[in-house]
Amino acid sequence: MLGLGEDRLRADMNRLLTLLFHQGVLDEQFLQLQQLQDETSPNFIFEVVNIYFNESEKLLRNLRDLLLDREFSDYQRMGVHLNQLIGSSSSIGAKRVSNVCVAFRAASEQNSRPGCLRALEVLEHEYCYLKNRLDEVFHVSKSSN
Amino acid sequence: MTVEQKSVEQNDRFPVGMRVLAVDADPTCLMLLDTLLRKCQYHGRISLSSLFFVSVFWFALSNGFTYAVTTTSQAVMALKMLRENRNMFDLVISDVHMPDMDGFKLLELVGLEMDLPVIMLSAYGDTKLVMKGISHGACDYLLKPVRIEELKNIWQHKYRLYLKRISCVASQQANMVASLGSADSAYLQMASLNGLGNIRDIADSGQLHDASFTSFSPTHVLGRLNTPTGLGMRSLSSSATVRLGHTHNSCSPDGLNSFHPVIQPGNQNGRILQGVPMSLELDQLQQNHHVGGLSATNHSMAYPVCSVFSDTKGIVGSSRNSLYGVPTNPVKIEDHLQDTHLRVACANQSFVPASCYSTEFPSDAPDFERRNDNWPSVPQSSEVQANCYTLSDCFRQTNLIDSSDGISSIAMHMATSRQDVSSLPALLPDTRTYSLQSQAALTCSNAGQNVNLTLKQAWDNHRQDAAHQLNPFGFSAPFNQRLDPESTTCHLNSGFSLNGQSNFVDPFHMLHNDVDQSTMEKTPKLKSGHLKEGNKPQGNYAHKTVDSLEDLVSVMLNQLFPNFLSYINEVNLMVCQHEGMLFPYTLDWHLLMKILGLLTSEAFNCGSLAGINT
Repeated sequence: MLGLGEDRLRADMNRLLTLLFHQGVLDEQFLQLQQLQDETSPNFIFEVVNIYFNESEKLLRNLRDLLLDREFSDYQRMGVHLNQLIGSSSSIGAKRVSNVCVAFRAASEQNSRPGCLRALEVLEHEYCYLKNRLDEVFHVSKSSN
Repeated sequence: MTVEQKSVEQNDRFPVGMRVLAVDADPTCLMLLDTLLRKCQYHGRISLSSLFFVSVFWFALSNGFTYAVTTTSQAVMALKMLRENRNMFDLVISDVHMPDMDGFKLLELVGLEMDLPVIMLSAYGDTKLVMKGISHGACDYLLKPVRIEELKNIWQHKYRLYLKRISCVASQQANMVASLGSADSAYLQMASLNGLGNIRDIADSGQLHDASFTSFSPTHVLGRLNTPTGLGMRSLSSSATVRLGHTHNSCSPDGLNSFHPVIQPGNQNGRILQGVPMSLELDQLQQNHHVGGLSATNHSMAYPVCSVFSDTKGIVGSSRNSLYGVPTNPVKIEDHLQDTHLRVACANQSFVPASCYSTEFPSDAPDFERRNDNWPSVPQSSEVQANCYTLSDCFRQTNLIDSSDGISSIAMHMATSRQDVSSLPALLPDTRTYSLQSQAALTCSNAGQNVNLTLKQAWDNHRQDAAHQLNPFGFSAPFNQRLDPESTTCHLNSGFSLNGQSNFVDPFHMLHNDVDQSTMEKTPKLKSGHLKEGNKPQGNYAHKTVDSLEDLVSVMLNQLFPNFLSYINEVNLMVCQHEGMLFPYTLDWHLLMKILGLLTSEAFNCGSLAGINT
């Protein structure tokens, strides 16, 4: 019975991941992460994704604070944040988040505040979706372990 | 493909001992980088220290490879670590955008202070940024997300950097020498006609060994020698050729074929007397191998000379110079050595009429002396420039004699520095027999000085002298006639016993026999006895000198570094396959030792010389 439960959980996890891949939320970089996880680093994905979440939330907060500031003009600083977000998202394999960040960066390079605001909205939405899904995956994988 | 090549390519392990410092403000990427590098069989040790994180230290299990990864999210910390101990790391990977310091700034500082290869990392693939990275001296520019395949190859940057640097220095050196030898153009043109067509054909093949061998190397010399000397030379060259051919096969199926004509007495006799063809050849080769912009013939002419010195010195571990670069082909080092030796000989000849040289390098004498003084120690400096000058100086002073003296001095130093006397005597004739004839006092420590002085005199005295009886190791009859007729204080042979490979000894015996009787008048006799052609004595003796030196070098190489060639081959393969950087003529001695140390001391048998991942 236990084995069945585990298998089911694992199947659920795989299904979740497959869905994310299918939706383009995750890309092959995430597969690389999975390959890096082995006996020597059994929780690699969990750790690195958690680091990513922590960092990203800080960056998103910064971006929001910057943009919502009435006298906002520091697009360059926003670009710096976006850079890091793009880098970490693409390193994780968070394809959709990364794409939105690229669009966000383009808007900020054009110094377009409305464009940035729009991009920030989409970014936050994509990020939340990713986080929820991955939390789910981890929960399932932890349960199965 | 050679066996060595195959084994290297099949083994995808990394060279041991590559220590990487990874710098990235983004902890996600940093952790990923660390894990990736560790999976590349790096031995990981991570320290995350930053204002944002609690420091975490853990040690990865050693899997037998001592690749070490150190990570930091602060550029300032990275610099501090690098400055603390320059030898702590072999490679730096750095993000471009960091809060505390610009990645390019870090790149500059690391390049300036520590001279380490730096790889830039960025989420931005903007062309301008990439160019900025390159112009600041980055070895590579990786885009995030970083893939493990890209990281698997970064270790090569370390060696590429070495070779690149040496190549640059060598190019500069050649340029300098070329500029100094510009007056020789007329002579060069005259001499260039003979083998030029051949050379071009050969050079066009883009194969160093091809060009070099067909153009000048043992072929010419061998062609002229029908004596036991010649046979000895031939056999030596054969062995060398075979060896080279073996390794060369991997690079070019024609390589082995190209060797065969070398053995045959060539119809290129006229060439060997002419430094220009060789230099032109060299020029071609250099162009083919993308070494600097040596456009002038004179460059070529000068360059081989320097190279020869470099080579021999490199082998010896002499201070000023080193074996430059790894030839592009697996055949390289030995091939190159032979070539360069011959080039020296030919170049010497070309230098003969170059009176312009005589007044150009008075200041180089100290270099020569200094160099000699430095020889006994295994050096690490790659002052190619100095070597080039001194070599030119040698040429200026005594034409062949000088270079040969230099070479023989090198040989001596080589022996002493290596404390491997036994190998050297095989190559050195009993100099005592020459003592009466020679005025050159070649001591192990200050041979250069003596040679310098005597050669200077000799040069001035017998610049017009056509008969230079030249003992390959610097004892010259002409000297005797010009200089104070004292017995040579030949320390060259002190401590050396003549254990000989007959091959090596034969030519010298021949020479020796003749020299014993010889006076200036006898000189032509010797020449004719040893050399088929009644070419200029300089040329002939140059050949002799070259042969002996060549053999000396070959023997030394083989004795001291049994796998030298294969190592070089592998290193060169690794380098060439990825950037096509060709450094055919020089190899930094320090680098060489490092390579050999890496390859031989640890897990080389396991193929630690990483597989060539394209």
